[in-house]
Amino acid sequence: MYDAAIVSYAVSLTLFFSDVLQPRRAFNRSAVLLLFVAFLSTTGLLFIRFRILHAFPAYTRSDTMLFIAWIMLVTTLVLDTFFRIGLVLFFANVVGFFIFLFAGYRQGSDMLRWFPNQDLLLLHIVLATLSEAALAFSFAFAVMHLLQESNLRYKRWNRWFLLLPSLSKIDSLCLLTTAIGFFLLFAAMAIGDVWGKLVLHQWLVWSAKPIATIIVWVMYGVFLGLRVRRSGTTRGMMIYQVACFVATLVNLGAIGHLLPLHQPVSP
Amino acid sequence: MHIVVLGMNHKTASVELRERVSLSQDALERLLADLRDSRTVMESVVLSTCNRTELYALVNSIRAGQDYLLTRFTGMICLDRSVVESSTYFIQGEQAVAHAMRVASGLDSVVVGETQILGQMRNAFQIAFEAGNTGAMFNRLFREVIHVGKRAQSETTIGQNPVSVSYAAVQLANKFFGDMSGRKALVVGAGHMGELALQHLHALGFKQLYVANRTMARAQSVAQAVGAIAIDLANVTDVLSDVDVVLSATGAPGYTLVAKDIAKALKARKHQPMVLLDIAVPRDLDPEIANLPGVYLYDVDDLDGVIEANIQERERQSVVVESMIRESVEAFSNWLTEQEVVPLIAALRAKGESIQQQVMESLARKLPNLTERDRKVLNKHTMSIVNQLLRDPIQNMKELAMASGDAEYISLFAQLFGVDEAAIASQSSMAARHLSAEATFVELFQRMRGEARRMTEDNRVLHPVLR
Repeated sequence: MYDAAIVSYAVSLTLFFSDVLQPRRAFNRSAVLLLFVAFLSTTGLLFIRFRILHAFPAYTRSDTMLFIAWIMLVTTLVLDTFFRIGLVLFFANVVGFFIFLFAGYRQGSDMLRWFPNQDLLLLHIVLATLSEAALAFSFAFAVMHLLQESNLRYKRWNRWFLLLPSLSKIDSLCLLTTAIGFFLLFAAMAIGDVWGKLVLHQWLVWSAKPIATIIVWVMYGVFLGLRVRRSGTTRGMMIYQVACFVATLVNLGAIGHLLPLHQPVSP
Repeated sequence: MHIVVLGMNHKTASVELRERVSLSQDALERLLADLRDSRTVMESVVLSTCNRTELYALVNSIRAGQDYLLTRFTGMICLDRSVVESSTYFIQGEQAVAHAMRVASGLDSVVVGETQILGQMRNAFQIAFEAGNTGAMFNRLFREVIHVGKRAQSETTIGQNPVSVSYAAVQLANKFFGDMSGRKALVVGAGHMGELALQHLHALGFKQLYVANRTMARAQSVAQAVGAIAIDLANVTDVLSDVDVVLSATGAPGYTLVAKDIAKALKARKHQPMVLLDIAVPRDLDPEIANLPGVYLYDVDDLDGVIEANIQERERQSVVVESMIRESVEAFSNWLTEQEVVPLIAALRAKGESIQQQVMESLARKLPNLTERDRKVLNKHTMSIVNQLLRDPIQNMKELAMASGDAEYISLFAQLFGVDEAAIASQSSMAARHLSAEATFVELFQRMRGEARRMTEDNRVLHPVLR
């Protein structure tokens, strides 16, 4: 199932890229169809995990990443159906594809342990996953903004210039997704801490994972503050937004690995 | 029967010749009346625009049709026939249908993808339809032609990429701000280019537009048309900090705005980005302005680059439109084939209903005590048997006819179901007439040659009218 998903995802993105270079209806239609196949396969994978675990598949890092990729697939397919925004489908899914790839790479290497107060923990994970998906979208929009701004600044009148939306529109979407990710991340942190207090009987603040998450959250807060104060985005701010997402990925993929809390813990 | 088109356009004739064949309303009506009364032409549509005049016709014989249409054209120009022949093109069958679709989609226009031609094509068909020059075949054909034209505009970006300097400037501004409803723009210069740019900016829905000109009276007259504010060129720096887009199009020598003016404006607007578009030659805006942070300055050369990119994009999109045309030609071919099957379907249904009626009458005689309700139930069920028996054969017959492109299966089906072929032949006409003795040896040879070429290049099966 994973192989089917990854192959259809990769071929779909290749066809989308080819369609950008030279529009062909057959390529575009096949790409959307294959993306739908990737979505069905990922849904199937999540369902299989659900059947195996008898619980929502969100307790290991690979499952979480699979879930993020699934959210990105669903969102882009819905966006493409109802509100066509130039090249969002392509850029967001390139990000989604790499997250999916990483999920596959980690599959089986994460151990699963059960904790008390599972519902609260699940809520924490789901909110964190949703925030990461929103921040992944904001990263895709930041890349689109940088690309279009560079086209306009260096007067590159290529197909990307024609197909990408206006800077103002990309900026608004970036602001919206960052704001959603920012507030969801805050909620996830708060619920995670409450769960820590209930299960581990202590407020989890002074350990690497919460500190790293707070740093990422503050970084996004600085971006939002600057963006709202300036009522517009500059190239420097979009580069900063990309850096924020790199920090998010490091936090998601590496920091948890070093921690006792986000490692399998016996109840 | 053959669909043909005889025409003259910007590729085949000079503007002088095109002027001569451009038809006034009266001339068009007269020509349509002549075509309607002609024995050679069965259906016709005349398209006459500033760049092309085309006669679309459904004729019995290609040679006679070509001869007749050329005579009509020669009469319109009042020139030697050989001159007309060398300045026109004559296309038939599938190529003629595809040509009509290309014209409606703007692929055959001077500026590829222009949208005006679709309205002109629709108008030409409407006039011919009202004059009684079209029949079932052209009504369907032009419905398909207009449909393709609409699809080209709505499903591709072929007509959306501007190819004029003033519109390309507006496209650039649009790439920065998207929704213009909260933005303000200043147009410096109220000449022809400035006026055109102002109209484009107005169409984009800017919140406020300013027009600056040396002559206030001219500025006011241009501004009034779009609800803009007219200002004196000397006071242009007063509004600079207020606007997001500046478009300059004066004919004056020297710079109308220098870096110092823009730097001051940027400071006042807290370094919010500004887009400056200089469409004047010699340039109006000091090139030093481009070095200021938050400023995007474009001159005519940059806009030429945008136009070139747009032209290339239109050409890329034309590949997509060509595939739509291919689909529509096939759809039209399928419709033509279906028309030939319709009489047999009608005859089959009539036969089935007649048998059912006979059975019902026989039942009524043998079972005289049946109530009204029993009769209705029996009638309903026997009719259902007939419908169920005929459903699959009718469907298969349609599919086979479409797959073969010919109506050769009609005769076989008619024999199989014992339907009188003569009755069908009187209703159906196309295939029979198509292969009638009216076709000359030359035409048959041409068709065979076309068929052979088509088979090597293209594996589609089209109706004989399109071959």
